[in-house]
Amino acid sequence: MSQPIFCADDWLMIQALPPDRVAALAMAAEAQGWDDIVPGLDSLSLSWNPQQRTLDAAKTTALALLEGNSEDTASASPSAATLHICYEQPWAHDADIVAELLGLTTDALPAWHMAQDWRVAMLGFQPGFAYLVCDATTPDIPRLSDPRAHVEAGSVGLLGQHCGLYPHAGPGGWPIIGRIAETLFDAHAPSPALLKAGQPVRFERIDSSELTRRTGGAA
Amino acid sequence: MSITVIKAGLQSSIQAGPFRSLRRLAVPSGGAADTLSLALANRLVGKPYDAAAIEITLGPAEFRADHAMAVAVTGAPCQVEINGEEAEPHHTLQLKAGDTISIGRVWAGCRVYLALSAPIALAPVLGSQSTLIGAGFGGMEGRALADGDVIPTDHGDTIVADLVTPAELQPFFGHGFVLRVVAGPESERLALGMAALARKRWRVSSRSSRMGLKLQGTAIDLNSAAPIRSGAVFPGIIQCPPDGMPYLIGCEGQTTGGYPRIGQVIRADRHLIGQLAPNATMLLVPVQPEQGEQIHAEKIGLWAEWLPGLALA
Repeated sequence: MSQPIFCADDWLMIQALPPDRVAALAMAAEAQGWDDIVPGLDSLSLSWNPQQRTLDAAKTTALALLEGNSEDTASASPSAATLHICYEQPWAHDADIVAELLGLTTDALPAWHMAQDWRVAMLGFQPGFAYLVCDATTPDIPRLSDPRAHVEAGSVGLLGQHCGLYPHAGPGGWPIIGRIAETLFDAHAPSPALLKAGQPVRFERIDSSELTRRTGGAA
Repeated sequence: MSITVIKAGLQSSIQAGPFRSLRRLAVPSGGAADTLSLALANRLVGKPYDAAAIEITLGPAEFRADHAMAVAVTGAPCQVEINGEEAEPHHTLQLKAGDTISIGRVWAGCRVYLALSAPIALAPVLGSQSTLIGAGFGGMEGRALADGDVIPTDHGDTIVADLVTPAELQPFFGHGFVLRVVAGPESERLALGMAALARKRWRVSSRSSRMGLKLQGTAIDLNSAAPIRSGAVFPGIIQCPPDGMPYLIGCEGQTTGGYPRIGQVIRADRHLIGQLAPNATMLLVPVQPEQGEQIHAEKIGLWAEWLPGLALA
């Protein structure tokens, strides 16, 4: 089976991949000496320094990756992360509209959200921002027509078919259904991002006083 | 030991080499927007090509050496003065304690680099002393420099030989730029092919920053407006948003995107993106990836002897 590959002068992209294959290939690519390995929703991009690798060698290495010659351990997916989420106001700004779009009552939304088999598809948009996917097919949830000027760090949004986790406070256009207690990105930590592509994510419900306790009063 | 910011101007920041291999965590590459000019400045004060220096946007800006040090100014052409007396860019300049150096408004280009012989004593974050202004970490408290900031330095080798960048190695910056581009992953959507990008002049709009530059010109026709599944973008990617006006990703641009990627500025020319100011014009010249690789090798070769170890990204 041949996979389409796009090639620029110092990066290439393996296209039309199922999400689980993206994560497995990203892990396998770690042993191949790329500069950057960037998972997309259905693609994997690999960049190199032309002073260290030729275009031809890069293409050959990518083909070896697809043929699985470089590894046999792609099945070892990272262990599941548990995120503690508060679905209460004032954090669940848009729970009413999202629930309505999903055909649920607002009260039933948290149970639906916790029941999905979420996995991290990719990080993007801002350092540590995670795009989660699940197997449920839902109506596409639209972006807020009027993006919020301020979204709290840890806000959890639903957009299209994805669940998005905001690591940093700032403006945001995703409808927000809750807020997690965990820090998603810390540039000063040895491992700066909490989540990585391919990782399963479980949500565990907490109330607002527990959120306040866990975030040290920041919530 | 320090250098004090008297006037930071529009946007000045500490920039060195980029953050490496962190794009999978959605951390932008960042670093100096014009890596070649940073390397040329560092060479004149005896530092490695990617050492931290001060990146100044458009000027004017002014600094005071709080102890004796050598400095050098490269990048966009501008008036340089020490204590009000004219001084030369592309020369090693010896400052005494209390001397001020001022950078005038640039005549062309966008960014000026001020390198210091004294090492900038700010702790690296994720392997770089560069400032990610959008993400808010690195450099000086994760932000652009402000008037009155005192940038700590170590006691460097203040006795630095006086050097001048060889004239043939000084880049020339005017108001018009030529950037070579390879096709992007969605270039087949261009109704007119890569010709839609080439053979017309693009103007940089005022909506431009280290993160990206909005271009103005004849709107681009795509034969499919369907959104793409979000995937990697890199500095130098040209996206085509629904309005048809290209958006050029800068060094601090985000790592993934959902707009069609219709072109990619070749690695050899990406340092020039850092010199594109609002109202600058540019031509985009399509090349094949193999040509891009060749041009990169030739460009590195030109500066290799003067700038050992140089990398352009």
